[in-house]
Order: sequence, then C-alpha cells, then structure tokens
Amino acid sequence: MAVESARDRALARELALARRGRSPVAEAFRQLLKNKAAVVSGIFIILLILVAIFADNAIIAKPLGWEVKPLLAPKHFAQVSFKQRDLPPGKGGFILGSDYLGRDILSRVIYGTRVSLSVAFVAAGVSLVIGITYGLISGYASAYIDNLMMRFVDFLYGFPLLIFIILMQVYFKALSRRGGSGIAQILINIDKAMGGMFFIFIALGLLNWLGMARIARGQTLSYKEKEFVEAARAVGAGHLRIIFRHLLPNILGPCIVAETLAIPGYIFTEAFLSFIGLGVTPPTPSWGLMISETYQALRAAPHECLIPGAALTLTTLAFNFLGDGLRDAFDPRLRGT
Amino acid sequence: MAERDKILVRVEHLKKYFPITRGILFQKTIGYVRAVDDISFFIHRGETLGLVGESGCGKTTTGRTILQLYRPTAGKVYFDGVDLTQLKGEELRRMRRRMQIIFQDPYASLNPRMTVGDIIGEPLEVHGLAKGKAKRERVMELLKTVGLNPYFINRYPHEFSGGQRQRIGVARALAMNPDFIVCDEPISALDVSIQAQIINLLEELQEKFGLTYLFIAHDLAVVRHISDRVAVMYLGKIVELTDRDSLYNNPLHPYTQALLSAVPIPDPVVEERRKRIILTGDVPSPANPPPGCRFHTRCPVVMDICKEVEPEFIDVGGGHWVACHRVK
Repeated sequence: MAVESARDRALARELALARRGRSPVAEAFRQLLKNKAAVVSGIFIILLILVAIFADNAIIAKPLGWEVKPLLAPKHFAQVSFKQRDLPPGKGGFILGSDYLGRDILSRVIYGTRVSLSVAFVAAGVSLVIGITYGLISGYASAYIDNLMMRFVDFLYGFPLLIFIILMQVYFKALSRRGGSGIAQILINIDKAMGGMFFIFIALGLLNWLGMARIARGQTLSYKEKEFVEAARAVGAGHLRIIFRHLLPNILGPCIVAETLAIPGYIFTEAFLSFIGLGVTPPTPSWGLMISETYQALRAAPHECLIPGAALTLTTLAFNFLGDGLRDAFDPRLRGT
Repeated sequence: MAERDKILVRVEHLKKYFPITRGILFQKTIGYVRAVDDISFFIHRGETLGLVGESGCGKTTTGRTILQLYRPTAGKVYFDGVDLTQLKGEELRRMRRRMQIIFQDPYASLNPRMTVGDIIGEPLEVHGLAKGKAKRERVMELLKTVGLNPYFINRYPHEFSGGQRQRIGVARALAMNPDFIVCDEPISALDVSIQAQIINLLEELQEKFGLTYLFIAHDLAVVRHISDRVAVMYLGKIVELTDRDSLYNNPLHPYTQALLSAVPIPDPVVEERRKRIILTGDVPSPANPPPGCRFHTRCPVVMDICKEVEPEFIDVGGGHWVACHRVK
C-alpha cells in the first residue's frame, strides 16, 4: 500500500512536470495584467469597441432586413431639431446637450467612435500587413535587394505624403460632386457608402506602412543572424519555414507594440483631416468634424466642442497607455523609458 | 578497412572570404576578410578532431563552411566521398541529415517562441521522418538520451538553465542520427561545473552512436581531454595538426608552443618553473594578412625567409603536420 502510494506520488510529480510550459506570449500577457493603467485602458478600449458596434442595431437588423434603429445611442446621429438648438447638457432630454442643429451630442459622440475606431484599426491593420511583409522580405533577402527596397522607402519618406493626401482628398471630393467615370467613380461610390472613410483609410495606409517596414526589417536583420536560424538551416529547413516559424513569430511582438503606439496618431490624423474638411462627409459624425463645426461657438456653447474633444483625448490616451504596457510586457528591458 | 574508408570528412584547400563592401546604392567590394584561407585536413570516422585557436582565427567559419552553412569561396569538402560543395537544394538537404552542429550560445541557439518538442522535432518534421505521436515519442526518447526529463517536452527555452538548454541543442543535433557533428565551442558559454557534464555527455553519445566530432574550442585543457587529434589555427590557416599526445608533448610550431606555455599547470612546484612564451603585438587583420608566414609578425624565432615565403603545410613524420620554415 505504502509502496503504491509512493509510486502514485511519483507519477503525479511526473505529470505535473508535463504541464504546458508558459509561452513567452502568455508570460508577456501576465506582465500586462499587472500594469493597472494598461488594464484600465484595455477595458476602456473594449468598451469603446462594443459601443461602436452597438451604437445602432445594424449588425443584427441589416442581415435580417429589419429597420435600423439606434440602440445605445438615444437618437440617430443626423436627427435634426431646429427648435432645440444649442441646449446645454441635461436640458430637453439631451443628456449631453444638443448642437447648433439640435442634434443629440451624446448620439453623435457614440456614432463617432465608429469612425475613430475603424480608422484606427483599419489603418493599423493595413500598415501592419504591408509593413511587415515588405520589411520581412527586405531584411531576409540579399543585401542588394534589401538596399533597393529600403532606398524606395527612403524616397517615399522624403515625399510630402500629407500634401499628397490632401490633394487626393480635394480631387476626389471635387470629382464626387461632378461625377467621375470608371475606376474613380467606383472609388467614390465605395467612399460614399462608408460615409467618407474610404479615402482616409487609403491615405493613412499610404502614409504609415513605411515606419513599420523599417521596424520589421530591423527586427528581421537582427533575428536572421541568430544561431537558432542557423540551426534551422543546418537542419535543412527551407526559406518559408524559416520565415514563418522562426522569424515572423519573433518580430511580431515588437511590431504590434509599435503599431499600438501609432494608433493615436491615426485617430488624430483622421480628426485633423475631418477638421479641415477633408475627412468624413457630413452628416457622418466624426469627433474631428464635430469639433470643427462647433469650435467657433466655444464661449457660448463650450460643451458642443469639449465633449467630442474629451472623447478624442481619452481614446488616444487609452491607446498610448495600452501601447506602453504592451511594450513593457514584451520587452522588460525597456520598462520606464 | 582501407585508409580511404576510414576517412569521413576530407577538406581540401578550403577558402572562405567575406567581401567588405562600401557604397550606399551601388555597393563596391573593396576587399575581403580571409576568414579561412586554404586549409586541408581530414577527420577519421569515429574520431574527435579538436580545432583550437584564438578568437577570430576562423575556427567557427571553418565549421560552418564544412556544413555548407557558408558556401566556400574555393576548395572542396568531401563527406563520405561526396563533394558537398557541388551539392544543391534537395541533395544537400538530404545530406544534412548526416551532419549536424551544436552551437556555442545556448541562449541564442533555441527559438524562444517554440516549445522544446518543436525545437527538437523540427529536423524530423523538415525531413518528413516523423509526425504527431511518433515525433513526440522520438523527442521524448531524445530528451532521455541527453539526460533531460522527457516531460519537459511542452516547455519553452526560457524555462531552462544554460546547461539544460545546451542539452536541448545536443538533442536537436542528434534527432536525425547524424554521423558527424560540429561542436562549435559547445561549452564556452557555460559555467565550469556544467562544462564537465556536457563534455561527458558528448563523450557518452560518441561511444553510443559512433559519432565523429569536429570539436572547436579555445580551452586547451578541454581539447586535450576530448580530442584524438588536434589542429591549431592561426589567422585563417592551420599551422599544426597531429595526434593529441604529440601536440601536447612535442609541439613543433612556435605558435603552438606559445599557446601551450600559457596553460596553467595544477601543480605549484611545476607551475613555479613554467616558462611562458609571451607573444608581443596583436593578431594582424584577416582582411590584410602579412605576406609569407602569417605568424612572422609575432614569432619569437622569426627568420628572413618567413617574411617572404609562405611555409608549406607538410607531414614531418607520423602524421604530424606543421607549417613552419624552422621545422624541416
């Protein structure tokens, strides 16, 4: 009996040893959960995403052919009421007041999360995919190809892309008023269907993959000289295997961290473009557009401008804190920098 | 067995030059680092050839060039009669099953994002030798062979110590039952107490599987312990190659003599009387090696001829090869 229980204990010990090891990603996630600012920001961002999705019931109603009604937002973002203009928060059933057309500010801010978040995530996704692909190829390829590819990136960096984007926006806006032809018209139709967000996606995509490509290339260069890559080559692993099993998983962490820290920039760029009238098309509510429409009445009706401003600030701060937290978690050496 | 069959690896006039380039858009080659410059030797089946020399003399490059991890600039590497330098693609991949490498740094040689099972099982997967359950079983068997608990299979490298990691590296090299393993300073990065364990493990495995080693190191005592024959490298050249005992008891090349005189002797009385040959100056740059004998700038017994004529690497009897004008 005693012998058997000893054997049982030995077996239990062996099985405990066979537990799944903690992967570096799981380890980093545990670190992240210890960072209060990052956790709060993460929860805030998740809430924002839910708010953006459930601003109205379109996600369920559209496929079922129901009428689209506001869900979280009290009213539709474009519902105008000329008798109830410029009401302060709390008056006339407007929780956060109404704007110069009598539209509900709370509803517009809620709908505005859709624009800001979709711009943020689409731009981040596009820049991540293009940047990593480009950077990985450049870093992995021969020095000659790497050189050519990086000089092309340098060239684009030197190019005033923001001016190019503004010109592109102005051109397409003008064209959409006149009506274009061929591909231009298709693009304009897509843009219209998305409330004027499509060209912002393109613009931010064009602007932001360059930095990611550089980061990805740098990471690739440093990892490709590591001995474990050499070991994989000695074993007879092919290029694809080395890229996808050895390089990509290792460079992904730093790239995602860099991208998270770049998201506030995207949100700001969208707000900026909307502010100067080159962003989303009214009445689609974007925080930048809301500020731009109301900042002249800052004295008389400060809430109309400050509320979307606060939403913008909180969101960018949340992404910054989360990005910082991710960076610390993935690379503890950088903590506090 | 005929003499030829006993030789597993034969290296003939192997050269590896790394280009030095300059230029931003159009890169011009402005010179070469002669990491390995015309070396020839052979390794018998089942023996351990030690390769010693100071940092930057081309030891590691030699090992990696033999395995075709670097393609040689010139020369031939015969492995079991097949010229590896002529092999490409699939043929080379198939040969890789028979020759493996163990790396110096156990922290850099394991992919931090892969489990031990995936790391050791990678060779099996790449060559389609085992999958799923069979792979798992083979990996656990290998873990046992190198003295690790087979239940470590699902863990990640960062959960192990340096010595354990090195054992994982050894297990990966063993996965395909190779004939030949290049041990590239496998113990230099380890604690002294762990070094002995790894050395013993390597010796055990050699006996068990009939392995042939090229053992690269700069620790002369370790090389003396593990090697059957020893080659001494200086600035991309082999200056002396012979069996262990004649090298340590009767070194002929002045560089070997200087190296050996630097080894401390664990006997205070003898140590007191030990005379060190202290070399002056630094190792010249391999991008611009001196003419004649490469060692002439630091040689204590240099002659005029050394500065002009490169000494030939010759057998002075009994398989004792030296490249020195003093030895004839």
